[in-house]
Amino acid sequence: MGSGMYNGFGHVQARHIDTRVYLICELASERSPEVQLFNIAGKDQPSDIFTKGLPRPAFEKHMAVLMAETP
Amino acid sequence: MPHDNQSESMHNATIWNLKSSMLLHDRPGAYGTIPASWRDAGTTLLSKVSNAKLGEYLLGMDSLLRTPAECWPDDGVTWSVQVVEHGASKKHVGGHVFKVVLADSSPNHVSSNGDVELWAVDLSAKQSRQSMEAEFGKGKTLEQMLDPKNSSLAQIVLGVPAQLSGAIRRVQLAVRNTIKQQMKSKQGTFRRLETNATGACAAMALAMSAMKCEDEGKFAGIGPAPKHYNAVFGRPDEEKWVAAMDKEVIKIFGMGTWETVDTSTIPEICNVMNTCFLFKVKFDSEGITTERRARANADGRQQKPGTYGETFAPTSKSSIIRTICAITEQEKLTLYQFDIKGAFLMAPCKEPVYMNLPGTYRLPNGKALRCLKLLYGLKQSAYGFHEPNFDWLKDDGFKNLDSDGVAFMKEVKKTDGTTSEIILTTHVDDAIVATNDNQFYAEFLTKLGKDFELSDSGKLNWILGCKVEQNLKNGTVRMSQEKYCNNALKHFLSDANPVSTPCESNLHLQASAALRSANVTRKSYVTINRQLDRVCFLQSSLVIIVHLLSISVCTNLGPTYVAAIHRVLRYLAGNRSLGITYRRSAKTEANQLWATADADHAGADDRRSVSGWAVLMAGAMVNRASKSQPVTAISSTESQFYSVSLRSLDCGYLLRMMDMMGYKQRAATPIAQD
Repeated sequence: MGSGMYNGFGHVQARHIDTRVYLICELASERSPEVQLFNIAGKDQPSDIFTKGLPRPAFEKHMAVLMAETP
Repeated sequence: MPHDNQSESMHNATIWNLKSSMLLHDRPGAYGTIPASWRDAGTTLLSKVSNAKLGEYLLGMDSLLRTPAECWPDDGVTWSVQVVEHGASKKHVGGHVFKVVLADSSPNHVSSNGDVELWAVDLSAKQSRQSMEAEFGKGKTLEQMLDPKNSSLAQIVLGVPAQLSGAIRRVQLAVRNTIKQQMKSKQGTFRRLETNATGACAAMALAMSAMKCEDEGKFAGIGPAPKHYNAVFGRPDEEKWVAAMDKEVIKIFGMGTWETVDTSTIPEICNVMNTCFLFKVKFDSEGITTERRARANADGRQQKPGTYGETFAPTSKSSIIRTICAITEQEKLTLYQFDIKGAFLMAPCKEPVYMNLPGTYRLPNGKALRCLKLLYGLKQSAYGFHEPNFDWLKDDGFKNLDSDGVAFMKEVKKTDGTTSEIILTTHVDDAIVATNDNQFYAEFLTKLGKDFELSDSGKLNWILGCKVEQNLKNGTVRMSQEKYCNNALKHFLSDANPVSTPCESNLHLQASAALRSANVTRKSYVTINRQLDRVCFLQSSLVIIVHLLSISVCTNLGPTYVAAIHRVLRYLAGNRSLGITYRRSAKTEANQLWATADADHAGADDRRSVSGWAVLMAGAMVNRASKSQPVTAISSTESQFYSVSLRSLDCGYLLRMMDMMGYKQRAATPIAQD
């Protein structure tokens, strides 16, 4: 998935994706990177909190990262 | 207000009908003529008299209640109240209830459609007993209490103003607070206030109903302030309001806001607008009226399109405010705030605006007023206020930061090689400032103070309902919204069992519009949603659920929706004080952003994905969002693509802003994704 964002443009299995979202490939290009993508495990993903309801352990773990405070 | 004979007779007839339909007993005469079967109760201690007996005593008795001079409202309002019914009730403390009606009042109350409505209140037996015991001491019989020199029983229960003024005063303060809340939320119940009350409560509860009616425009002349210009006349305090209006008109002329012009010079495209008054009573902390204020407003509805320009005042993005707080503690800046007073009245009015004098004030024939300065109520006021501030800052050497129209920055190199800087962002008339040189900031304030009327609030501690605590020693900035949460909860769910997460895991809000419960209105849920949305400013854990609820509030208000919103409120009840702390850390490089982005593929009913992301800085998030993606992603990869790609834009504008401020990020922004 991560590598797809670096050089996925035009890949046969990703042609349905709107070209404008390939902006990320440009931003993450190796010459002058503005952003740098890295993988983290799904369970360590703090943004999970913004996409769905979470059970308590995961919720509290992510809150500590985002707010620097726990409920 | 003129007394309406027809209404009065109708009113009496209504009361008579009510009494004859409800009363099973004859109305008792003076105490001596009370039937023997009732008289037994008079020789028994009050604590041993049953509620039913007590009720028979009180039945039919009426009393005049006049608000004491030091009480609000100080219009000399009187209520004549009467006990018309009593009976057992499980709902009321003491198991018994008395129904008290407002038989008459002064000023006279007639509803807007000419009908006379009957206002009644339920008073529990316990309340009556408490008030009698409080008045005469415990261990007395009704006869002792009802000695003729103490006049009628009803007066005890319903309050002799001189004796019960203390009680009335307490109740009255509570009433006023409730009414204030009511004004804000337009809902809630009055009954809650009747706890532990004295007899004065009954009368004051009537006053509350009267106030409530006033709020709905049914009663005239009894509110603390008149609703509109015509309502001023006929009030007991008419003269004071007229004086307040005089003062306002003179003040506006004195400020040079208006000049008189011939009506012939007015261009055809311009309307001559009316001026309206807005009335407000100012209270001190004791609840005593300190000032009656009438504010002249232009009736902006009469302005024709094309005679004015922009109508908005720009405000800063919430992420910019958080970013400034985050930068502050990394760069060891200090946060300050100030606000500009009398905001609109100072700014010049560029467009041609013509007005009439308000109310009965008259100009000579063929004359009208032209506005030279802005006035409340004009469409262009908000923007017109922003513009001179903007220009002033530009002239003073501030540069506008690209990312936000109202974020500014000024740098001055000092002789010793160091740089003094001010970062400033405004929210209409409130401004937040971050600076590294207090002296420099003081000079800036003095200079600004020459052209605008300022109120300097010193260190930043309160902005947009958020409490901000900066600890310079530890290098932390903490923002929290406890007070706002308290207010939101007070209106909607006062006693809640806290839960640890704001929504169930993998919550799915089913569309089931048919199952809406009867007493739930969409409007009230829209209000809750709006309040929750504001709480999201800092409580980022609510972002997703508020996002889902906002979608649902338009389409379905089924039981799952109601359960979900209750759960959010319960979570909030346990986490009111939760805030964000930005912390200086030796480990990470200063001003380094890092972002995380995620997507929930095809999670919603319509198979669209939800992206969620956060941008973090100084150990906590500065920007975050939860959004439905515009397209239906075919694969989870595609939804991730969207999420990450759009996130990089978010980082972009924050970086650009920090770049302009001179805090350049050295490395690329890491974006974590799974």
